[in-house]
Amino acid sequence: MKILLTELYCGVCHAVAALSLQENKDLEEFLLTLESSNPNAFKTLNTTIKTICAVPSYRNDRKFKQVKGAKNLYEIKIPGIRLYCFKEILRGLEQPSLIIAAYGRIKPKDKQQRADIRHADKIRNDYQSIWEQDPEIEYITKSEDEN
Amino acid sequence: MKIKITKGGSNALQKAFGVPLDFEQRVEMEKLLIMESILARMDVLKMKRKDLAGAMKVSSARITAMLDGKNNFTLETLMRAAEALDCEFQSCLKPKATSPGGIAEGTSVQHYDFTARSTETKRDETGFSVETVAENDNVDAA
Repeated sequence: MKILLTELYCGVCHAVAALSLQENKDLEEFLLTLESSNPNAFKTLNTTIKTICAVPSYRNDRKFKQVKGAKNLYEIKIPGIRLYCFKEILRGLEQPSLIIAAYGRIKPKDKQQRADIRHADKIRNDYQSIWEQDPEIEYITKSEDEN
Repeated sequence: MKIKITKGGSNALQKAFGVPLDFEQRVEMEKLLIMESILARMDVLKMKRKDLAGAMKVSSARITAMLDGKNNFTLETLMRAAEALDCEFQSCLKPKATSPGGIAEGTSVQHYDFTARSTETKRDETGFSVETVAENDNVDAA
């Protein structure tokens, strides 16, 4: 059992890391595809992530909002894109409170979005289950000149 | 629990997010940070968004645009927001970290701040924890 966290950004108040369970590459592929296919959306996502990481408690729910009915599941919202996340604190790391990006999607119609939320919630639950089994966790920090 | 920390990773994803923000992105970030200042002050005053719109004499749609980072703040808008929030509006030019000698021509960054007029106890801005955050967050705010 392995949890891989790839740090995307480390701000003053929070860090954001991409989650990969059992070497699943879905999120990484989604984000890299977004960067190449819709660079403006990727730039907006990058800006939003860096803003969220700059304040202790981000209040703007037009950009970052808890998903209704799902405990500790949040969505970073940019037009047409949803990045599902949850919050975590990993002891032993120097990073501030961690926001783990679990699943990203082009925003579909409402009915299908509920399926995406269920999938994101399942990833979060899988993470918790693996966590309880004393897994090996690898956290890859960013090189300092890339923040 | 074994946490293996690999320092200085630089895979394709990290490189993509490591690109420095360009001017337009920095402008958008500043807009969102201004809104965070406004929202923090609204929390203190227990003010709703429609109340802010009314006090600023703008439409609710304008407040939504501000929250989306789409609004291009004018000085008048910022002053209206400050008045609506019983604040003094402050602005300053701060030299970039890379130019400690002073404000380099054409490279200065403008920062805005909303400071409460009256003395008030500041909100506790402690960080979140996994156990408590879900209960504290307001999911219904629109």
